[in-house]
Amino acid sequence: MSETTEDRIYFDYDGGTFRFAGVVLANLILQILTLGIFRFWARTRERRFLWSHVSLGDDRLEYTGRGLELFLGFIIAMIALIPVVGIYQILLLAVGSSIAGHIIVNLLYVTVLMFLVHLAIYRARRYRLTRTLWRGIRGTLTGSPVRYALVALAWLPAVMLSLGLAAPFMRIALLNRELNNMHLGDRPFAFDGQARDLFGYWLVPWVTLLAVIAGYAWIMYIGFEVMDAAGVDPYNPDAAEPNPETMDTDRVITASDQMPAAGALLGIGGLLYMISVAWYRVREFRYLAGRISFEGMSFSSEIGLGRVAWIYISYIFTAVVVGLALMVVMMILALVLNGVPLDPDLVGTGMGDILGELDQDAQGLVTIGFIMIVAILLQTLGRVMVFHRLARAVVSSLAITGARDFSQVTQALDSSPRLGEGLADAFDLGDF
Amino acid sequence: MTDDSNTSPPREDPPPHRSTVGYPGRFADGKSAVIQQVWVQFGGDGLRLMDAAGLEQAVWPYDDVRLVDKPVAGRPVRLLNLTRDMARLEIAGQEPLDILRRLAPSIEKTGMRDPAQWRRAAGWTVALSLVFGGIWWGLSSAAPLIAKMTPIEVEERIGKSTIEQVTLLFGGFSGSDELTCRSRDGLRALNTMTEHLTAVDESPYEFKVRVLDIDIPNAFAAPGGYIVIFRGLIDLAESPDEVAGVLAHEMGHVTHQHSMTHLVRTIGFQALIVPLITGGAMAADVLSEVGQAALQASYTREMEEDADRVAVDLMNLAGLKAATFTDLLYRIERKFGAVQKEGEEAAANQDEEVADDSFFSIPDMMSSHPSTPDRARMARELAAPGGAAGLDEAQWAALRAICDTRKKRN
Repeated sequence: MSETTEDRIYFDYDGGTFRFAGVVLANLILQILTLGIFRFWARTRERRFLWSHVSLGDDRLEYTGRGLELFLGFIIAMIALIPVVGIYQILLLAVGSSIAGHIIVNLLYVTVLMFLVHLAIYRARRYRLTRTLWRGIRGTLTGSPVRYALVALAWLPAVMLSLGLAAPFMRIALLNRELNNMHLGDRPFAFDGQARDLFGYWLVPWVTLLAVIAGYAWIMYIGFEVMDAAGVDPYNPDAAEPNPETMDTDRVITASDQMPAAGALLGIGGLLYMISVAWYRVREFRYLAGRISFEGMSFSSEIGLGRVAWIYISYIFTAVVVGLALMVVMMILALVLNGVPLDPDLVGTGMGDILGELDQDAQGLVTIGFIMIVAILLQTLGRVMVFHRLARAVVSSLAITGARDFSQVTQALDSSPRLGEGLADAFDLGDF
Repeated sequence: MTDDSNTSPPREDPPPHRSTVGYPGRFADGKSAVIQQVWVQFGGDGLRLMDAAGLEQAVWPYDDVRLVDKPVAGRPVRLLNLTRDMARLEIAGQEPLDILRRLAPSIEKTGMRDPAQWRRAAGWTVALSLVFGGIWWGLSSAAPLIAKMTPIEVEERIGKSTIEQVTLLFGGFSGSDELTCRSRDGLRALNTMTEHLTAVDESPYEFKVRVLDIDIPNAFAAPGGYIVIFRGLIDLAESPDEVAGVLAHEMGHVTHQHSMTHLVRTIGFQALIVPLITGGAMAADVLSEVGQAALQASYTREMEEDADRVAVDLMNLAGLKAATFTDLLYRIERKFGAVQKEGEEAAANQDEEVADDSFFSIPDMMSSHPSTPDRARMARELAAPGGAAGLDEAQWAALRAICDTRKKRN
């Protein structure tokens, strides 16, 4: 029995914003109450929510992972990390104060860490895939995590030495290993992306960043040179009276303009860089999605920069408004608690002055409580407004074209890892 | 359990049938990705899944059926079978859900899908508690053993690098060792004092004592016999035997390998337990923490008492005045205790004995020490009567001026 429909079908995400916010909020509170240990279960609850709202046609994804698996995986990873940390410490002590020794030991250590990080990434993907169910069929990831980590290690020096220019090559090399080993049941996905296709896109943010840095350095250099010529100590312009004999008034004015100019460049340049990165990531995602196929069906995405940019801009705006509103609430609350009449003189004197009337303990509690509430609210806001909306945008931009025939897909033999992401969590890689 | 088995007890009321065919459902058997259109009937023994030809595909006993996720209005409910791993069944509409809820109240159970998993989870919890308790206990008891097994050369290596790090830390990372005080007569006096004590000491360590030009009344011992006294301590001392007392105390820490023990325990603790609680991107943090923790050695009360006992023994054997070596501690407490309080209040307390539990912002050496009155009592009980100061007037003056060359040079 196979369904054959030639036209294009989109993935759908129908998770409600407020319901997701509820999940995030409850998770945060439980994490605080358990000193963070709940995070494994929190992540599981969140994934369960997200997965269950992603559908293709009539069929939803299902996340079958459990918090306990993540927790135990983490414990085991931490225990496995101890020898690494221990050996590093011993080596550091062994080389004493030798600078060359420190460089070598740290280089070695970073290499081992990078290896473990990529090992962890692959294992985490495998765990997530095997806990993802669609039509009763589980995803799998074959291939060796060690090979994946070695590919990463092979590319890292080139990426670093080229100041990031070679990053697309590493990315494609890693995706090649990962996506070509990805399966639904026993049937593989196929990926045929080429680094050279991404390279042109990558040049945009790369050149932007380089230009901003170069411009900043240039402005600073000119400023220093001018101040130097004017007899001003560039590190401490107010320290001594410049010598009026040698002082060139016009050039000193240029020097004092240096900071605003540098600031403006950093501000505008930073914004341009962020936009160029967002643009690149959108192009990259569309390209990568278009290079994936499964059982003769090809994937594609039409996600646009406008939608992604709007997600960030509206979030920043909301966060500022919410932040200001919280401050006002806090000030009013403090005044009410104190029974202090609203005094115009107090406005703008800051929280400390207002709270000064409360006794020390109460003041501390109110402050800590307020900071915690603000942190929880802002984190929830970020998760809901950025992450959740991005997830919705990305998922609903994905489409499948081609005859949808899943009749060949059968459950893979049991090769799923029993425990969770461990190492990945140790390195904080498990984003969602 | 196979599809045909019938372990659940027969239901009393036969379920209502909308039709003999049943409710339409979508069935994924967990073997193939093909969705089978089935008719779901509420049988006496469970959900019966019939294919289009009217053949029975599977029977899901009511007790084994669970909701995959909370039902949402207008959306088909997803069901799973505890004994069928990845098989899933979707039924649309409120009516079949209501019937199912009545016949199979256990569908609402969430979380652990398999009762055996509760036992497993409980087992894991107990096992983990044991593991953590074991780590805690193991570290505490293994640390002294590991310290004991560490060859003295390794200890010296570690101690040397600790001293270097501390010197760097206080010296603003200037790279050169400008903090170590080097006045010739001062070093001679320090040597004389050290020799008084080492002459009667039987520990295998060779003591390497130095004074750092830091205005904090403190002293510490690093592994392998390295002892550092800060100038602030000598400034506050009124007689050489008080400094000798502190020196002997630190020698006690060295002899008992407290510093090494502490290092082992701290590294173990930081690497094992802290990350679990803090979470986040800790692997890297842990590493830097470990390095810092090694510097911030704070000993247990027992360790301090051991070191005090060694100190008084050494002073007695060396013929030094041991009974009053705690006077210096009182002076430090007064000075720094007074900083905490303000104005008259401090002046009023000046002559009173400082309370046991008062809060002092004195770094390391004092922080976890036994209370000063207890220590003074112990010293008075164990100290031999009399005792010399250890240094003559000229030597004492030289020791007090041990850092002066450096000041002159600057």
